[in-house]
Order: sequence, then structure tokens, then C-alpha cells
Amino acid sequence: MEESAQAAALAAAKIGSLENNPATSGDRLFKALVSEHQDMVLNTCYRFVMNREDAEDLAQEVFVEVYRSLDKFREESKLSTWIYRIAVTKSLDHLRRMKRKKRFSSLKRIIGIDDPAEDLPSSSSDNPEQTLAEKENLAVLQHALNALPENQKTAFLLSKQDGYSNSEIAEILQTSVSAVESLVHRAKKNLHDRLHDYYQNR
Amino acid sequence: MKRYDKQIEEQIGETMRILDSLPSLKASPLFRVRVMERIDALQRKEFESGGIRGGFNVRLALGAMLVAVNIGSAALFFTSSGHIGGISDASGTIEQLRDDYAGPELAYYVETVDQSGALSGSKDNPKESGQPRR
Repeated sequence: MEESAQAAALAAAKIGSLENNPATSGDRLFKALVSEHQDMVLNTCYRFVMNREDAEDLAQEVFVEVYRSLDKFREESKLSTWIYRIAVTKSLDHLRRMKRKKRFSSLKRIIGIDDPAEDLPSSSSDNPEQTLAEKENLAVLQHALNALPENQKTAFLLSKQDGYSNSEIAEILQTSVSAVESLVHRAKKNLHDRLHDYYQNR
Repeated sequence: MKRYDKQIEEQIGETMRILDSLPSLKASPLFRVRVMERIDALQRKEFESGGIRGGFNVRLALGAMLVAVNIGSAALFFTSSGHIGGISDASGTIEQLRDDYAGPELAYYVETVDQSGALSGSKDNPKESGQPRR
């Protein structure tokens, strides 16, 4: 089905479903839309948050937002691009929230109120040494990524994910392909420099 | 402790490879169901909050409050007019008191009647008699 026609049909059916019977064709169309894009949205969120539970929660939020805002969708871009843009925005919002939370928890630690849940170990591997090293590397990478400007981080993470071409990333970021290439290049360089500083001074 | 550049580069490479080795996730079979549940919950919430908004109209409440304030002001105004009436009653009472206590029996000076029939005060009160004080 043509994406814009799908969006228009969904928006019309959604209005119908709100007024009449909830089990209309709008819901069926929406379910089809979810089935089609759920994996891509889930993986996009996962690249940003690097945690399956959070990614799944965010992906659900993305589709709720898609459902709510479908009638606001202007056919300036493809429906899939619009959905992935929502996924990126939600993921960045989540990271900002986490940053604020982290700041607050360090403040709590300073004043002596610890959250015991933060210190619980995760048991993903049988080898504790390897788990610790992986965990440390992941934390270092996340820290370095979070220090990047948001457009660099977005361009870099999307470029790392299968299924996004540079032109699609450009559409999501509402910029040009050459700008995306430049953003990815700068992101790589910044990441390298930050990691280099970290490992040198460790 | 400073480290060798080669070692550092290796470590950077290892860390960067984490992104490439991130597994491709598959959404759980219940994913769509959970999305629809969330949408249903949201719609219910919106419907309920709409019901509350319909039952309690803020504009209507403000209008009613304005009318009540106006009625209160008007009532206050009329009560104040009643006070003015009270004041006129009070002046009547004062007048009556003056009449009662201004009688000759309560005067602190003695009024005398001279031969021409005009009232005049005693010598003790030269002011009343109209004579200059010596």
C-alpha cells in the first residue's frame, strides 16, 4: 500500500473509530502498521538506550504517539521516516531524563540517600570478570556517546544500524546527505578523542 | 598511569565494536497487544477527564462566582444605606437628650428674670449675663 494513502486511511479510520465502534478498519490498519515497523523502531530505540526493557517501553510509546498524532501527519515525508523520527525524539528525551535522574542520584549520594537498586549486579554472563569488563566498556561508550552533540549522536547511531541509508537519516534529521556524512565523521572523531582521553588517563 | 598508544587504540577499537555487536532485537509477540492496551488506557483516561471537564465547567463556575460577588456588593451597599438611616436616628436621640438635659432644673447656673422680663445669668456667671469679665 502507498504510505501516504495508508496514513490518510488510518487518520480517517481513527476518527471514525473514536466516534463509533473501536473495532473498525482503522484499528486493523494501525495493527498492520505496528507489525510492519515494530522491529525497526525497537532497534532504533535500543541503539540509543542500550537496554532491551527501556527500548521496548520506548517503542510502545512511539506507536502510541503515532496513533495520537496520525491526523497531524503531513505528507512532507514518508510515513516510515516520520515514525522513525518520533522514535529518535523519544529516545533522545529518554536519555535526557536519564541524565537528569543521574544528576539527581549523585546529589542523593552526596547527601547520603542511596538507591539500593542501583547497586544490584546484573548476571548476564557466567564469567564475572568478562561481564565486568563488558559492563565497563559499555558504560565508557555510553558516557562518550552522551557527551556528543545530539545531532552527531543521532547521525552516528542511525548510521550504525542496518536499514538506514544516509538519505533516510538525512530525512529523519531534516538535513542534507552531505551534512549527515559530515555529522557521522565528526561524531567518530569526537568519540575516538574522548575514548582516547579516557583510556590514557585511566 | 600512562599507557602505550597501541594498547589504547586496541581498547578504543574494542569499545567501538560494542555498537557493531549489538544484537538485532525482535519485538515480543505481545508487543502489539501492549501498544493497543496503552492506547485503550489513554483513550479511557481522555474520556474520563473529558467527562470531568463536562461536569465541571470552569467558565460557568467563574460566571457564577462573578454573579455572587455582584450580589454581595449590592447587599453591602444596601446595608450601608441602612446605616445612614441609623445615623439619622442617632441624631434624633441626641436632640432629645439635649432637650432633656438642657432644662433649667439641671443647669449649673441660676437663671433670673429681670424687670423687663428678659432672662439673665447670675453674677457668678458673667459670661451668661452678657457682662464683660473683670
